Amino acid sequence: MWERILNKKIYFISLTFFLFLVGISLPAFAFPEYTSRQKALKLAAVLDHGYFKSIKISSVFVKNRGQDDYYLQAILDDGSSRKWLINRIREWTQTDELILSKNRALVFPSAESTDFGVLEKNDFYRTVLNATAFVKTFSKHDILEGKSLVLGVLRFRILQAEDSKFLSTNKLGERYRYVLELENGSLEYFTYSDAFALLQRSAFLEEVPENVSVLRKTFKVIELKKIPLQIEDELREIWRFGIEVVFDGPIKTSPDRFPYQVVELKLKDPETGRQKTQFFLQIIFPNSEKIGEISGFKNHEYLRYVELDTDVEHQKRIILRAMVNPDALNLPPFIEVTDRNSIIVNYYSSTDQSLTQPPDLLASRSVSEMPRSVFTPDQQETEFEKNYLEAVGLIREAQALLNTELRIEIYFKALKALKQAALSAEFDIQIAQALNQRDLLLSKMPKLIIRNVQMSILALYIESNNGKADPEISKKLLKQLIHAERYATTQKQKQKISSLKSILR
Amino acid sequence: MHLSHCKLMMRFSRFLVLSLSFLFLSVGLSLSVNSGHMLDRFELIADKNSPFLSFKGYFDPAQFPHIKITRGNSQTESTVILPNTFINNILLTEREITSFKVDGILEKLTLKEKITKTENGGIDFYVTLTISSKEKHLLVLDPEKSDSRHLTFALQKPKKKVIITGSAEGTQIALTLEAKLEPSVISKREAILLHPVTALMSYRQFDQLNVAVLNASPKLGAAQRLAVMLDRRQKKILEKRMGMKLKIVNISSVREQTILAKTKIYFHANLLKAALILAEVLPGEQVLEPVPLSRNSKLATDIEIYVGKNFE
Repeated sequence: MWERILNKKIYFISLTFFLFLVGISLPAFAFPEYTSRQKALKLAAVLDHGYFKSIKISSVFVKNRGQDDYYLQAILDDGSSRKWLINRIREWTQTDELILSKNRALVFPSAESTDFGVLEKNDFYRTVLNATAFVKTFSKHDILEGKSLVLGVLRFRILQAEDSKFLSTNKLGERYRYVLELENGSLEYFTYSDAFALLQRSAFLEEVPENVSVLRKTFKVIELKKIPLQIEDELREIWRFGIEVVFDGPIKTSPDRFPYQVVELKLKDPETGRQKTQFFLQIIFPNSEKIGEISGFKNHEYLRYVELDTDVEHQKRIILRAMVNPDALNLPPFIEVTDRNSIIVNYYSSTDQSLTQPPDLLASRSVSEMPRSVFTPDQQETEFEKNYLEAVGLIREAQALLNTELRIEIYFKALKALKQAALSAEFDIQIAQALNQRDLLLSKMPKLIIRNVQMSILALYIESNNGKADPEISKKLLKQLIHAERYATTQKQKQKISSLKSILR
Repeated sequence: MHLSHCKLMMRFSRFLVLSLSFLFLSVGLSLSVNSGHMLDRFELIADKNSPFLSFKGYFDPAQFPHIKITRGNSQTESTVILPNTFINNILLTEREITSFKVDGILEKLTLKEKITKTENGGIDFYVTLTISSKEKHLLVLDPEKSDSRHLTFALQKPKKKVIITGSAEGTQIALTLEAKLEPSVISKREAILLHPVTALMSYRQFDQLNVAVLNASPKLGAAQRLAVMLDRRQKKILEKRMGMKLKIVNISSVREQTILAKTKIYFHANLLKAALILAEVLPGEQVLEPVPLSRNSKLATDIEIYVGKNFE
């Protein structure tokens, strides 16, 4: 048998057949030709008395090919009978060859499903003409995906021949029909499907709720300012620096509307001529504009060539771009909206590579579904969560203080909260994180306490003339030193502690 | 003798080419249908604000976006279509359940499994759930409580009138989507998770990175090629640099006809470093973005790679 199969002719026929099979499997996700009985019945009712290529549709009825594959059969006013597959109906609606009666439009919002909707155009016009604001929700794969901005409406128009997008289509082949001019200067083009979806989403607001701020003009950038390097977290030795983007007015948008992305670019090295990979950290500012030339910086800590550019792909968007070394980028940037008409982009640097390395803990093994954070997925606050949030809050509070004495006091309170968190933990990940945090704090405390006691002794020596310390203060410092002694890791620390203890005694 | 050897070799090579071709085809076809859901059992979780209807079994979180929820004939009825789903007939024998607590919200739950042959000769299988409640409700998928072993729906009290465009008789789609207008209220825990430094104290460190590779390029099999490259050629380098194991958990196509110009790497919070290492290893230019909050959930994947047009 193989003799026959493997002869030259049959071999090539088989190979061609295989390539053909691969070819026909390509449009596997094409729009379906048939639909369910229920949908076909509803679609037939919708198409009844409409127009097909300017001929009135007399009646439409449902036919089936198999048990679940339904299509339509239309009788036109000219007496002809046509078999209508669902994909063809979709195509004709897109090219206006199939028009519904009563100023309605048939829409197929999904490219894979035969789900359809009917846009009542008159309802749409009434809604959009009465709208004062438009809720723009960003689509999939946009950096602002799922987020919304409320923008002031200037004018609504039906696309005319002189409009640039007249008769042009979106990626699904649907024609743009309408344009909405917004007060910030941007234009929104809608297809029938867009109009249908926007009505469903209540995207046109006649009255805006009091707590919602409508963006009626763009934020215009005035200047960029450097924020110098400062310590952010002394426990992990994380440093913070920033760039402040100053605008012409208050920023009435929450910080999550200013996302970040990292873009990899292959650039030609001018010296060697070779392609070199470069990474750019970009912060996106929607509803923003760069009117004049804004000078950037060549260097700011690990950022290179910091500059502000206009986004060429999206309307009214600017990008704060900086070249970064990916090895230096351990933590993502953090955005703060200030009350002085500016946005601060905080960048973090750390030399501690273990920050992003997994600890050698059994608790971190992802053998089963485990939550990403120490918090349980349901929003109910557990006892552990209460204690852990308190501990984290205390640590952050301490880190913001300059007074070492106060810092140590708060760190002690945080240690207590961490102990409570560990005692109330319900999962390995929770107890592991609480103990990790405790150990990190304990390891840094001796150094901090030694420094504090040294400074306190010096201060006492300068302040008091007889050289004698207040017994209460001595007692307090001694207590701190005893704690430090228990967790001192080096011989040097131990020696220092014992000498400080003898001074205090 | 020599000539017969040559002939034999030629035949063998042809046999090999043909076998590989058919093997590729069958693997390709099986890969296109091999993932889906299996419903084993369900439970109704009581909650003051919104009770949850939770199904247990085996689920493919990557397919959660394809679940369709529509309002039924009345405001107390919802229909859910779970594509690529089977019912475990041993564990879940009943198809109509009415034995719910008297003071509970649910009245009736019906399950319907359908297996049909598609136009292309493939098999299409799905389950339709019809949920009837005593009060008006809005059924929504709860991604936070859904993962590879659970599929949870929340029965929420309707907040806003459902806007149905067009005549009800002709309209198939009646989604209730509410545009979020008010500034989002950030809870204490969210504030901690959002700040990079406090997030360090709260996120679990991973020792295994679950990666999904999705094709968003016009080239057929691009996701597969990238996955093979990651899994075979680059795996050791990546694992060494990231300090964790790399596991490809899903390879599939993006259904919504999305073509991306550049390959996009979506990463969950705390995984920027891992995403950067992946980007360095992958050929071409990549864009890295945190997973949008609207899509963010307790999905089994840590990183999603959408293979773009630029992937050669």
